[in-house]
Amino acid sequence: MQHLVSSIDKQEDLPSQREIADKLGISRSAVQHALRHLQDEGVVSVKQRSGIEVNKKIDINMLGMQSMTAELGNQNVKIKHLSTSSVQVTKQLQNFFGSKTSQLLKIERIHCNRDKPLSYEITYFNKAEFPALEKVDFTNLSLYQILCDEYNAVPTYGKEDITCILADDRLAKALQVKDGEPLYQIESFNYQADDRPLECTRQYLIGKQFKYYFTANNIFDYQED
Amino acid sequence: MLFKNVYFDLNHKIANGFYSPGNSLPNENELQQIYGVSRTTIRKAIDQLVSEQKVVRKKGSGLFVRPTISKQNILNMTGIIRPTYLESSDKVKFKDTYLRLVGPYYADILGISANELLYYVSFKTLSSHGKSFEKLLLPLDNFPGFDPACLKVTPIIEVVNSGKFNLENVYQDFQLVEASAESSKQLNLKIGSPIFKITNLFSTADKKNVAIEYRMQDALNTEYSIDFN
Repeated sequence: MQHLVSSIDKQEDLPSQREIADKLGISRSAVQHALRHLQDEGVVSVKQRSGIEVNKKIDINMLGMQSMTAELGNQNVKIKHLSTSSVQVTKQLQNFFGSKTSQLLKIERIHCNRDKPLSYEITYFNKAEFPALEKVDFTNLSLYQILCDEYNAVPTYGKEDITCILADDRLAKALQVKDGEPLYQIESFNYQADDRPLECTRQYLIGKQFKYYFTANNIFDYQED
Repeated sequence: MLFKNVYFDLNHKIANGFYSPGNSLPNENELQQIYGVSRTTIRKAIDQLVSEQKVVRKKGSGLFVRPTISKQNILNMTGIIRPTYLESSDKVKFKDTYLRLVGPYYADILGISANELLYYVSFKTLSSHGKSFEKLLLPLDNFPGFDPACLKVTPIIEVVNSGKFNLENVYQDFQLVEASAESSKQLNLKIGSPIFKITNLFSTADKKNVAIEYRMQDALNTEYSIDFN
């Protein structure tokens, strides 16, 4: 039964429960059982009245050191450049950028898939180190690509914190979701090979559209290391 | 001093954690002074450690003890390898343990027939990371002698490895889902509230899945950190 449902879920939206039951010649309760299962798995969202929504997910490698653009790796994904501004360093960011840094460049971007927003990103750079970025229009340009081309700067290691928040007015608007929609909030701090801080980014991703994964091979070897 | 002695000494210091994984080693000049030998000798010793994958040379930044790969941190964090709750065994609270038919969904994942039997264990754990609700699914055929009580003292990874097959790989995914009737009850949340759901698929060297584990946590009160190397 669940197989049958997953074979239909290649479509954008599922037919109603009654239609599924009729189509497959099974009972409503069997359909409900299967849907509960798929809902548990995060494959679909079932909403009262509005029907069954298929949560198409984008897989992101949890251990990838790639830019969002590269992770998404999809031709349909476009980047909207919202703004670039100069801001004073905050206390938290000073810890990362070092006490000599005073001005930061703040770049706000949105990744969209067919005009539907997927993620909203705010990236900070040390202005003194990357002054030319202020002039760049990042529309459909990968940030990491530009850093590499213009500054030979490559993120080499870093740290990422993943939490969940509910969209407030501002985020709901930016991502075109309802107020209170669960979002991943990802803060990342990336360094270059010579230990210099490169950039720090706060990202908001629509929860039901992303799935993180990783594969660990030879796990018992890791343990022995 | 021969390069072998330098090699053995460094190897020993890496093995016993004097130089710990992911941290830097003294550079070649410093090593020359420490051991009072020529640069060639140092280089030869380091070359051997590099070829044995114990040391990494990073252009422009020096020598590092090979990191034990950030995956381990995640495995630790998500409880596969050494869950912190096992430090005190009374923090595992069983909810349900029974045998049931696998059913088509899990049969497909586990590559077995839908009529086979499956151990279904659900339990709650309390740790410094907060409360989590977990489910462990083990095909009876792979785990004929399974005793759920062992989960109180044995890490899940060892439990899974105690079956008929040798465990080799873990695939993990991490997603944000809505709390179902069951998970909301176990985690004291409203139905539909966001939860982080981690799925672990344990497999053998030839990619056969042998066990499935789910872990669910209140997403609004949980933080995960990942280090990239």
